[in-house]
Amino acid sequence: MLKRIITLFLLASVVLLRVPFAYAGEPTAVELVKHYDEVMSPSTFDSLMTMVAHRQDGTTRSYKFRGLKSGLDKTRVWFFEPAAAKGQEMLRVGDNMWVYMPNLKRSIRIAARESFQGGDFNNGDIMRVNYVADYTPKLVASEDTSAWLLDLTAKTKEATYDRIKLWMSKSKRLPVRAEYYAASGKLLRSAKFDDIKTFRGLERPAHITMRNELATQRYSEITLLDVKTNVEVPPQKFVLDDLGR
Amino acid sequence: MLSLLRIAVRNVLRHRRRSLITFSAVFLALAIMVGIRGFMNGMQSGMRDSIVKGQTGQLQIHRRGYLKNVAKSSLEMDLPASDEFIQKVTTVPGVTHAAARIQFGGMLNARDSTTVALFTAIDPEQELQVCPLRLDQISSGKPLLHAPVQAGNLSPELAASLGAKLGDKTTLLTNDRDGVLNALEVEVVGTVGARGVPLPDKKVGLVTLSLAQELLRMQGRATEIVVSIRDGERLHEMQRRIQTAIGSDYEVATWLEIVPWLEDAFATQDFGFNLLVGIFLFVALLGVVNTMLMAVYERTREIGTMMSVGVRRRQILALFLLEAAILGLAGGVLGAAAGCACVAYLSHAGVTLKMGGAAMPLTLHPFIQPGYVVFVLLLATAGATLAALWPSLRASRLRPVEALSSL
Repeated sequence: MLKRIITLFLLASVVLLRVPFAYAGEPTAVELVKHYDEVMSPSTFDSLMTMVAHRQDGTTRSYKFRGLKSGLDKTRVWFFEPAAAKGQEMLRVGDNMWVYMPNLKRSIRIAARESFQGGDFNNGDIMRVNYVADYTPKLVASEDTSAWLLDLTAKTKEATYDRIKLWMSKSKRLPVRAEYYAASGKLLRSAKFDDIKTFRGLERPAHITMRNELATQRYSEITLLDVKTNVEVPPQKFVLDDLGR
Repeated sequence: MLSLLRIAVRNVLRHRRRSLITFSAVFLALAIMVGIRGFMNGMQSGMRDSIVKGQTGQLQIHRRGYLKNVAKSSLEMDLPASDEFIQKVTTVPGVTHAAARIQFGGMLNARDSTTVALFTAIDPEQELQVCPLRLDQISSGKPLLHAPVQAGNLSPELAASLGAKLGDKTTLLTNDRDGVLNALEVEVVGTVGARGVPLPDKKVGLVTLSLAQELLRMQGRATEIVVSIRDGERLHEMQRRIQTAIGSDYEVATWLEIVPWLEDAFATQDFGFNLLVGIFLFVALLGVVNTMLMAVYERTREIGTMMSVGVRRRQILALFLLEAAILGLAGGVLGAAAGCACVAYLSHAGVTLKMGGAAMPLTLHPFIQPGYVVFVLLLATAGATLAALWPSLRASRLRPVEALSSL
């Protein structure tokens, strides 16, 4: 009888103590990934970015472009710099991506896993950031006590990577670094997120460095110059025929 | 000795049926050895030509480190395609021509479907000087020669994956040398496939050098210079000479270094062939042992008679060995001749083969090196003699009295 009371008491204390604790401090994996999406790629946003691609030979190439997103799966990109890329546009609608070439006045299908303008980001890194929809997240033990470690496994082969390891800071719940893997387990890219800034109420890293782990002298940096969220976006901006207009 | 030879010849002719068996065994073995070798020579040479005269050229110049680079078609590691640089190469004594090329990857788009493919950009006229078999590899339509600048030849696999047909306008999208996207229209004027040898990459295409230079924003640049030389035997000497002429920023590679798997594949083939004909010859020679042994048993009384009239054991041994040698040589010479005749006929007629994985059939012309014929003749004669050694020793060791009284 006494034994039973003690057991019950122990069970009750475990339940009573655990539950509120989990609510307070430990977000679930899905909550974290959802937060990543909301911060890094809000459902409607208009942004101005620069990309600097560092090449194997030590030289760099700079790009400037505007990214416009509407809903979960529509993105459009306009390139302004360099001169050779001026007038080029990209569009993502669902699983489809195109690039518009001003010299041909025609759009050509591209893929999420191809390099974004020859740098170390992929097209999907810019136009397909919807980790909740594309990946199954799992919280795993992290050696770094200041960050949660998420293990994301692709749900669809259209996802930009097959597997991602994502570290998010416990203090601000913002991404710190990430590693991107091929299905074979080979490390393809690794990213660092820093320079946390607040753009009209949206607090997020303004600088991402993507290192090419297949050719380690290569890396590309993206810097956010401006972000507007909750913008009015006309739906006709996201139809193929609108490219080049 | 001469009389011994005369007796040996007479003996061979006297025992027609037995001689015929030995003779046939050696004859067949040699005819097949020479025939197959000739066929294989033709096939290997056809495949080598298809690659060297149709794709790689004899020598290639790249920026130093290009071939070892992980990303094989790195445009950053380019070189000048200027007249000045090309002249530096063509003025090396022994060089006949040099042609610039660009190797690059891109996405070919037709009817809203896109396929990643590898492209080789060639100067259609210069290319024929270094790779004359390019024209032979057109499987349908026209080559790039005399075609407009915005023309391309696709491998059948690439055309099929896009559903592109001759005359279709496709779009070639790629990152230029700086990484910026660029696209140009390419009209499919023909399809190309290597003959005899399956391509390592299935989805490949040929475009004009001018188109690639515009697409990749690489005016006056190339990723490789292909060089042809007057004397293919002096490949390595020419490699050193050109290297000296162009300096250490660039490196010269022979086709052997560019497609090292080719000669390895041939070496494996040759090993298999040698093993096979070795077994064949061995079996034929076992037949010789058998017939010679029969001869000794049959001719025991004859041997006894010879010994009793004073013929030496050594001479008996020599007689039987000589008989075997004569049969070996006769069968060998006629067999090799039959093999050579067969090779000569096939060489004249040509053998057309479609090998697995290859896009187009290869017509090969078998040939045989005289050295190989002499070698197999000596091998057959020596082999037959050696095979007769044991029966001959038996014969020479008979006791005259017993031999005379045997049946």
